[in-house]
Amino acid sequence: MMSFLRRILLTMIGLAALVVLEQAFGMTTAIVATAVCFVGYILWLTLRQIAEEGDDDGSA
Amino acid sequence: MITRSEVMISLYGAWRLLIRDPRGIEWLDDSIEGYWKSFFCAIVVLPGYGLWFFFTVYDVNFDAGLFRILLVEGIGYVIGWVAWPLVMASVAPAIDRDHNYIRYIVAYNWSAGISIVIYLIVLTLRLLGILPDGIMAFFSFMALVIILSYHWNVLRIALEVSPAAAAGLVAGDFVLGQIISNFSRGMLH
Repeated sequence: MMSFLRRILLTMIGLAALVVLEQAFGMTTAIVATAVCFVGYILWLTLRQIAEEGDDDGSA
Repeated sequence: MITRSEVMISLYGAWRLLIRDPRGIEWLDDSIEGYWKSFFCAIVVLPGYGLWFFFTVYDVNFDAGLFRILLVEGIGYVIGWVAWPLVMASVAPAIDRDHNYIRYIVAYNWSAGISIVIYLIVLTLRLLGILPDGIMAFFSFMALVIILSYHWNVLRIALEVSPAAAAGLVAGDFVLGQIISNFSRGMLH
């Protein structure tokens, strides 16, 4: 129940950080930062998936 | 999806809590489903909040354009709605009141529907311009006192905490609201 609210809060904090970044360094920096964070997020998901699959193989 | 009658019944329950009727809590749905439905009050309150923001905050000379103002205020509004329930999700078990947590958040969320009406009454009086500034400042202060004591009452009835604990939690909610509000206003300059 709380994880949904926590995700909303984190998303909004992320958006607020993006607005601050855009205000301080301009739109280009904000777009680059968004792209870097998105790639980082995908990478983190992939690594987590690989780790989980590794655990499954170990227990099998 | 929440129905119009559910909204009206919940707002009526919140109104009963404002007039210090403990039975007001019986009008609120304190199930898990009712917990999520209570966040619909953010939509109910939004037009009133928009009016209040337009006439009290927007007339301050911001450096930002309309899009940024709407974006930042939108972010602040959503954070304002989820931050306190998240804080209380940690506080309620710590003070051994986790069994009353859902009931409290349902009452707290619906109480926003009554609080915005109090703010709008003060705003209407200010816009009419029939009262001197000193009297208006007094009315604004009284509105704040009523809303804080209303929250204190909701905490006493719904969460069943001691008067001192309720006062501390009211102060915590007020400070958190001020931090969110000031941060979002700061992003507009």
